[in-house]
Amino acid sequence: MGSTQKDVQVSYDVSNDFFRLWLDERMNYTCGVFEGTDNLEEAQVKKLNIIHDFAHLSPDKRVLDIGCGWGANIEFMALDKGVKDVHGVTLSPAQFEEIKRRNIPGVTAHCGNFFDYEPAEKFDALTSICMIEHVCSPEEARNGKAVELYRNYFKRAHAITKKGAWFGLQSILRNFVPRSQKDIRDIGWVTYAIFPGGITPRMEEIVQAVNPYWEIMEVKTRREDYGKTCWHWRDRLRKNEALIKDKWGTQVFDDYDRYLSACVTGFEKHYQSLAQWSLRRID
Amino acid sequence: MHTDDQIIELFRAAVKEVDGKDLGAITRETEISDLGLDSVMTMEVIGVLEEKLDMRFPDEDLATLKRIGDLTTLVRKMAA
Repeated sequence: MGSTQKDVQVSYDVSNDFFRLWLDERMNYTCGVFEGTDNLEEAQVKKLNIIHDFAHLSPDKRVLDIGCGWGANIEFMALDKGVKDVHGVTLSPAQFEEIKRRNIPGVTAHCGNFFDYEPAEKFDALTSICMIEHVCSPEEARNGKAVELYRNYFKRAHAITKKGAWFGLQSILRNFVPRSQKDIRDIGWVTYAIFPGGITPRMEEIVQAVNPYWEIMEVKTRREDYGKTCWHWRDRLRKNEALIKDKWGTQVFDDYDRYLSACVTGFEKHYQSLAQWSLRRID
Repeated sequence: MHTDDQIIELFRAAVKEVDGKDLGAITRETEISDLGLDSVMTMEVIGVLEEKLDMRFPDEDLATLKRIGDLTTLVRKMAA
């Protein structure tokens, strides 16, 4: 079952203006790609280009972005790449409000659970940037349900696509269990307090779960890129410390500083990594 | 190559370092869950043990450890 709407609201509905202060201008809340740049805005566009290419998109394609956040990727596909038929689904009401505010031509968005989403017509391509982390809860992972739940996600993705579809997927990966008390407690706190109901998958779980629906055509891991992304987010957060404390309170600032610091450490020490996947539908 | 007794002694020292307590008699048959360590402490003890042995255990092997004997078997397998 993973994250409920109530869980997702804890993660993403603090305030759109709060996230706007420390994310890039498009509001990507996922790993950027720092190839040939140290600039967060550019790194996020590089990431969006990679996912676009991994999904084999072109302007004539009908595409769904699963877990579309505040609309960074659907806006990029529609405006920067000229894709004519772009759809997004998010479970967060605050993110949905931001997408409506952007009023992007050629884009429709739906606020609800991906598993209940019934499109009027099947898609040529899918993208999903770090939504799969909400598909399985820590309790379900402990009970051995992870592969079954991820497979259900890929089954649903298969059901709503046409033959020949491609899927550009990005996911955080759970790699190595921390051994120090501080790191164990910090990572556990991030899991339960900042992203309740979700857990990052292990790479081998995804490799198992895509079958028999999707073929893995390409995978690229980007552990260091995500560490750098989190460093930039924390840097921007700290530069806005006074404003954040004034508008949202000291606790919000302290919690997000602790969370982003735990992430910087987590990627540095291999507790977490990130993967970008190009998947081809098995017809 | 460490003997089972040497590995058990290193484990005992790791628990002392993390939790400050002296374990009573432990054997290969002792259940790790009976030692009064919570899950965080257990991982800390594993971390100290890894440092002393200069090895790193795969997470999936750690998930299967139930008795001290499982740990000594894992250490010997890793060293082989």
